[in-house]
Amino acid sequence: MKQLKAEFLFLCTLVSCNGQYSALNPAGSSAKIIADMFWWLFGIAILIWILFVVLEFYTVLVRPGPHKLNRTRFLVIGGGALFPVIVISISIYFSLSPLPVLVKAAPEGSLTVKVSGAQWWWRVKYPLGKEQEVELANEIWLPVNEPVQFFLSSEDVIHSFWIPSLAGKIDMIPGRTTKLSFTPTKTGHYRGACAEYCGTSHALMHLDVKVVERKVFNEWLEKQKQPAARAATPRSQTGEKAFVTSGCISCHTVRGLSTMGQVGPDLTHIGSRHRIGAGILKNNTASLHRWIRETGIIKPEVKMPAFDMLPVDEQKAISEWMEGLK
Amino acid sequence: MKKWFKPILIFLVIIGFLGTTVMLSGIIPISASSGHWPITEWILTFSMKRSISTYTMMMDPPRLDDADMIQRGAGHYEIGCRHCHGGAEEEHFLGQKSTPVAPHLSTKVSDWKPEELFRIIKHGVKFTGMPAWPSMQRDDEVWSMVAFLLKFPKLNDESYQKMIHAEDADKIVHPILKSCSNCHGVDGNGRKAGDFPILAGQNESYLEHSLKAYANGKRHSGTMQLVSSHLEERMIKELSRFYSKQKRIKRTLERTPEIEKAIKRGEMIAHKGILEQRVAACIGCHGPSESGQTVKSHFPDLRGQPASYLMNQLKLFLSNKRGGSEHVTLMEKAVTDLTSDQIKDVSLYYESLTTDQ
Repeated sequence: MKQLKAEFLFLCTLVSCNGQYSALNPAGSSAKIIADMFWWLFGIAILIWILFVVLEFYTVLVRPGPHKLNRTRFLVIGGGALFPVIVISISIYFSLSPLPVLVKAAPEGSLTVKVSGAQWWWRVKYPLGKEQEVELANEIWLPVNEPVQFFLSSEDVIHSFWIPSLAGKIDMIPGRTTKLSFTPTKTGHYRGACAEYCGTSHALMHLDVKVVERKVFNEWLEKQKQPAARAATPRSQTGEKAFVTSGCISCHTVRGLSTMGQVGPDLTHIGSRHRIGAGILKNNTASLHRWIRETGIIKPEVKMPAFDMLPVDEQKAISEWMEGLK
Repeated sequence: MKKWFKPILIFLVIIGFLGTTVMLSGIIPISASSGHWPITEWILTFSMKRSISTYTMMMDPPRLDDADMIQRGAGHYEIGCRHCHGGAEEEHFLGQKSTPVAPHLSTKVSDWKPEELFRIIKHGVKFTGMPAWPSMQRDDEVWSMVAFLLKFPKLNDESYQKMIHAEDADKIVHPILKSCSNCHGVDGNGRKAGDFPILAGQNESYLEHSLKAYANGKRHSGTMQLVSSHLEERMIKELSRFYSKQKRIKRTLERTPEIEKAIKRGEMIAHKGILEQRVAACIGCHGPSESGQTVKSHFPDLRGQPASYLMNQLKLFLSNKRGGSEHVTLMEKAVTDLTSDQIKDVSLYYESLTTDQ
């Protein structure tokens, strides 16, 4: 029992109560509405539970035995049919009424971000002036207190885009663009995940989201727009050369180096991201090296082949060079 | 019932005892020189024909009159089959001394349907010395051999020799190159027919790794396994260097408007990949490089390779039957979803390129 309790508490801290994935720790306009709704329904449920317990005491201790017919009718029809209908109707009304607000598009001129889900990562596109966009991956930054408009799509199967602390989840459906908008209200580092089973490594499809002041956001986006700096030291040149000649560029774009690769995530500023492999490993040279060597072990059935046939020193040089792509 | 039982049991025990004694004594000759008794031969032949007929009941042969296909079978016949079955018009060959006699095929081929020949060549025949094809993954090679055998009865010594030897075989500089040149030509630019992969100007390291992979069975090919498995490491290195230094000759591709369009489509695939199908851009490994970046020599240079060879390799990749050196996993992940039209387009694109591009 004691262990069970400990496990329950552990799960609590892990998934909901105040972690980066918590819907109960809202940091966005939509998430706030959803959290409020949760607490209201939770409160109503508690009241009903108390009422139920009181009624049980009444029947067992206060007035056991048969009742008059009228009284019975009142309790059965009133308590069994009328009361639930009223409570459920009110709950439905209050839980559906925020919907227009939740699905409402952000005002014209708001920041737009396009995100598409792919097995098992996120392609992220920010606007870059008119018509043009800059492609990033697996990490989203947003300015605080400004509405943002997301356009969501999928490149293969159905995924679901969910950043619990900021908004509700919206499916990403192949052949369609779904929309989501909200206003982040608290700066901080949040996490998102795919919320629709999408294949073997569905559970390894995560997302880092940072909500920051406008000024910080501008600096970040300006940096992300830049092409990668070319390797300067002999060691990083070795890494860069190995990256180019080993076939990596067939799938990965590093702006400023090669832009033919579309199939895999853009790696132009991979060194600046919090995590790698779609939010699953801490971003450091050791993780990058492990990812290059044991790709399919870390993320089963991932589309990227493991490059364990490369000489170990080349693998290391590539990961060191990538870590330097800030 | 009971009356019967005892004598039969005694009879069987005696037979078993005698049989074991004869076997243990070693008195029975198993020598090929003495041949079979007629009845043994009849039973074995009859069982073989029945088995082959049963196992080919549901098979449909592909088109077998293609000149390239016939040529692809020829080189392997010379190295793998001729010793036992004899060349065209050859009167004395090793198989005549085996039991059963390995037949001269000019008279025997017509006894079998093409799919039956396929079955015999691919799986071999027990108790005859006929071996199975060295690789179970390469039905295309076996069909090429069937195609050659169907042509075989019409060959005379002169046309046979012409078929199995490179056009300029007199220019061979080292005896080891002879068996290579039967298919790949003396300078590695292939034969007139056959659409063999061009070895001339191929990346040295790729050639070396491929030969090793063929030799240890990791890259699947009956033909190549046969000729590469006895090569010493030093020889493999020499051969790879030799072919990598030869000049690749531009192939003449018939350029109809349809082919031009296919080449254009193939160019798009090769340079950009196909995002929706998760197909990687070919040029990242195989060239032609976008900005003069050198491609690592572990990867094959596909420029100017015959499209039909490339198509066959891509199909083998898609059906997981190609195998290869330790780099092969890259390709297996890169082309999981190509359609046969796309395979054709991208193969034609690479055939249309020259090594100067």
